[in-house]
Amino acid sequence: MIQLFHVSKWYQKEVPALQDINLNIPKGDFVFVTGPSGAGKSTLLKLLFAEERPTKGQILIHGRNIGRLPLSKIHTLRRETGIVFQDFKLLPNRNVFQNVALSLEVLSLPQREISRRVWLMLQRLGIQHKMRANPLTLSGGEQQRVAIARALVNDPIIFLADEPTGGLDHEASMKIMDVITDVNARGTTVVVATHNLEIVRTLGRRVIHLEGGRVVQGANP
Amino acid sequence: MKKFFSSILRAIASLRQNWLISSITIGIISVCLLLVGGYLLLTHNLQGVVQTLKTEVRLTAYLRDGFPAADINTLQDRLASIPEVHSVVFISKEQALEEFGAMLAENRSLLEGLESNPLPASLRITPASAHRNFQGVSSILNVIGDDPLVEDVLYGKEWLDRLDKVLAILKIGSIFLGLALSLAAVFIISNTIKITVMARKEELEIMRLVGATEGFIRVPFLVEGILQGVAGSILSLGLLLALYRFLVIKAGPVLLNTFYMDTLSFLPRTSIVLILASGMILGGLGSLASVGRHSR
Repeated sequence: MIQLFHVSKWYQKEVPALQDINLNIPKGDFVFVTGPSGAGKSTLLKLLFAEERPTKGQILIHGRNIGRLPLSKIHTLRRETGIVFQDFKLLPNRNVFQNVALSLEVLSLPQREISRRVWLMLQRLGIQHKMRANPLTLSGGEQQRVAIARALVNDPIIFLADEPTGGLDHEASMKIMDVITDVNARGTTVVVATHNLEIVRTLGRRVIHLEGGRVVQGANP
Repeated sequence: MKKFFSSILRAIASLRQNWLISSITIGIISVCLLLVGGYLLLTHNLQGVVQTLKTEVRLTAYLRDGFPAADINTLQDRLASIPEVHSVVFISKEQALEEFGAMLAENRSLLEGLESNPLPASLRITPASAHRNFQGVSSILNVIGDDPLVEDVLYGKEWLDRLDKVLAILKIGSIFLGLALSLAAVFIISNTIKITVMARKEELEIMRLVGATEGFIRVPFLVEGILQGVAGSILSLGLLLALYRFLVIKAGPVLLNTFYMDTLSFLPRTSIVLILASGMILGGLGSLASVGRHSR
């Protein structure tokens, strides 16, 4: 369960990035966050994985106030959260397998367990045959699958995606959304920030629409 | 312990993955430490020159004729007993004439016309090595005082004065040069490491994104920095040794003659340890500080 109570975020004093946001996203929900550029979609996501702290208000994730989470505890939140970006954020000096394994290496799991789980995840996303490839040699859709594999391989409770289909063509975008839908079907709470209204319409899920840093639609399920 | 070993393994893997940037860092560290090592090698060998120059510091006390040998012995013993004196050698009139004749070599026949020996007997006083300076010589002169035995004392006053000044300037100059070189090395090495860490900013960001603890991120960077520093310092010592060997073979005798040196020698063990430790500390701390700067 993700809950936001009167959350505001200012980067500069004059312009609020988010203003008085109240949200309720139940466990297992699938939510799109839409809105024009600068509406605050990315800021909202950054607050959810504690990349940014709210200037005002409270953010509770499964009852834990993450706005007050000490720096030394942020990794515990990140381990429960899978995060994907438009620019994939893959390491060019590691191959596909090693990029995905990173999420498990930080848990200090045994190498055999890491290999098993990475292999299963790559298989699930249909990119196991690319496991030795350098991510830079893959198509945009394949790179995004690698990023999703890395986000999911440690079984997160929440999956956050910031413009996961940005820069991809319609077919590739739909394939990525199929994967994310499947993630949600397995019980993970999904929050996707996107510009792509076509996908939003096609999937017909709950939409939280932001404008000027305020929620104008969909604050409650 | 298991975590520590896994950090080392990850550091080695990371060095392999970032081999180009690691090689550049090691290269820059080694060049900087090569300069510092070269400086240490130079000052180490110049100390030999200084010692050689200082052995030239000697006093000759010319004695009046006609005093009994016992008086001369007393003066000799008095001088030999003070800590400033290393040795006192009595040179008789005959020995002096003999030495003078040897100096004249083929013109020795000039001496044959002499009716009597005009040269005085003397005491050759060599100061102890720690007292081969203006102050040490002054102490010895005080002991001689105005002993009626001694007619005159020769000790190259001006030369000694100049040697003292030159050594003082060399000492201050070498401290400044050493400091400047060390600071430059620290500056260049820490900035190189800062740039290499900056180049891996995205890696740090991604590690934090997938839930790595600060320790998980920092320890391999620390180990990497230490390994790079040690590799750089070993490389610099290797290069320095090769350069030193080359110089000894090509220009050793010329150097020895030109600079009044007895021998040439490579860096003493303390300097080698100093260079290794500098590489290790600069690499490790530089890395750690740069990763810290990219903390969230």
